[in-house]
Amino acid sequence: MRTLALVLATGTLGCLGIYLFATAPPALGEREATAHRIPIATVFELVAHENAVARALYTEQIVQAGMARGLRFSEDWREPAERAGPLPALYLRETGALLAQSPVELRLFLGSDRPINRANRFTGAQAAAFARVRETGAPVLAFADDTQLHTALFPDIAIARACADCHNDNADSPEHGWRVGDIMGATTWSYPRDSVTPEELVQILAALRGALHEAYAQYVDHLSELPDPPAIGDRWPREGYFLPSPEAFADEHARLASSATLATLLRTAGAP
Amino acid sequence: MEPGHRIRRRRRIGWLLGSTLALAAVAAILWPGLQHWRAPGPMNVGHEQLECGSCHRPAPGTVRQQLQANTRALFGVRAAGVDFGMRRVGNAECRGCHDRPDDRHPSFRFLEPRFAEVRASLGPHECTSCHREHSGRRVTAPVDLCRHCHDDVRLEHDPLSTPHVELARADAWATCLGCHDFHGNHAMAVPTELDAAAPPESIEAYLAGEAAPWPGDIRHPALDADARGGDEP
Repeated sequence: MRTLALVLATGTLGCLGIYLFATAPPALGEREATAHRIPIATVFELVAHENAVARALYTEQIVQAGMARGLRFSEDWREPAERAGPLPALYLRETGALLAQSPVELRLFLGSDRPINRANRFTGAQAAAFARVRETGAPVLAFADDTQLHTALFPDIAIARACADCHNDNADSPEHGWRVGDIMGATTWSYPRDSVTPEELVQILAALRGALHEAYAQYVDHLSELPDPPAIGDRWPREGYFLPSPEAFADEHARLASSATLATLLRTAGAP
Repeated sequence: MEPGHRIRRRRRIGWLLGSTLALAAVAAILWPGLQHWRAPGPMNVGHEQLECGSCHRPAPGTVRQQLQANTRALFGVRAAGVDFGMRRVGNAECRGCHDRPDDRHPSFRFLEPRFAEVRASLGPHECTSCHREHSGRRVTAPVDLCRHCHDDVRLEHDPLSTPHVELARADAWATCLGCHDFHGNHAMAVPTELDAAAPPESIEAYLAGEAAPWPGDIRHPALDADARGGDEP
């Protein structure tokens, strides 16, 4: 009897082992280990560059030049009565929201230690990381234990007079002494893994560019509902009451950003 | 008939009846038209007409593949386990119907490092933290949830008749939603007189499932709202 029980138990365990381990059907969805992976620090460097170029283009060529031509930009730009476009910080927020809707897991946020809206003020570990950004001017990378996300803070610099003036003139701003070149805040990027495959990197860059360009397209769509919208085409506000079309904006962004992006990609591709 | 035989016969009939009833009960529960019997509670307001499969989708892979993946994870051969049977319902299912371009508190924003404390206490990065399904309500979070992030409500030029700082000092967090729609999905002007705000009891009723206390229309109705018989957020 005891022998029979032993045989049965061994047989059952053997079958269970085969069912669970051996003659396995294809394993479920673990990410493939490829020979070449790109560290997340490089990914953050690339996306921060792409974003910085788009932000500079929007701030200098759309907002600053547009204000001189009579275009308005407001916090409540989505309100039909405002007849305005998004301020640069809101352009970035729109980009972050569109990026969150994309299939890639990259996230983008904007904050500061002295924001106009106190709800956007850094606290805790993020405030400490930003203090280092402000001190060194260099990005700070960290890993957030609770969300299991790799995170990077990049300095957000007042690249145009309009940035400093707008914040200095806002009654709710806790700081009225901003100057061009100051670090006004930081963009925060996050991603769940410490490296990506080349294919994933291309998807991330494509999603970010898509979000940056769609955020601008939403502004153009919004303006086209106005009774006297600027002419939308190939011309820019510096030339008159014009706005570039979403395609023209995307082309200009690609022209300005692609060279450095490609150089980083090639440098990374050559790394072991 | 012998008494022992009678007892065995009754026992057989009992087994037969019991098994038939149990099978009928299982069949009734599994019957597609009775799927809501299997739900752990009433559907939330606006979701009454949803099918189970609207949110609950089969997990990828066969049962064996899922068992193997989870066993490997248990033994440390694999980094993480996988969903077994049905996929975990997450934000993506909610966004499928409730995605909006101008949400004032989109869930992804709470993944920012500075929200670590509120992620631990309230969990606003997950839709279901505030909208727990099968509760029969619209919102399951408390009415004073704003206190978690907006403890500093000083405004240089406060437009409200009773300054926000005073309301916070008085612990009047139940008044916030009277003027501010959390997701910003009602078209309305924010009042500057506290008396014009929706009273806390009407907000509580709204969270429980009653009509919205704000005057404006819904900006972005949920997708397929007509088919589901409700379009409230």
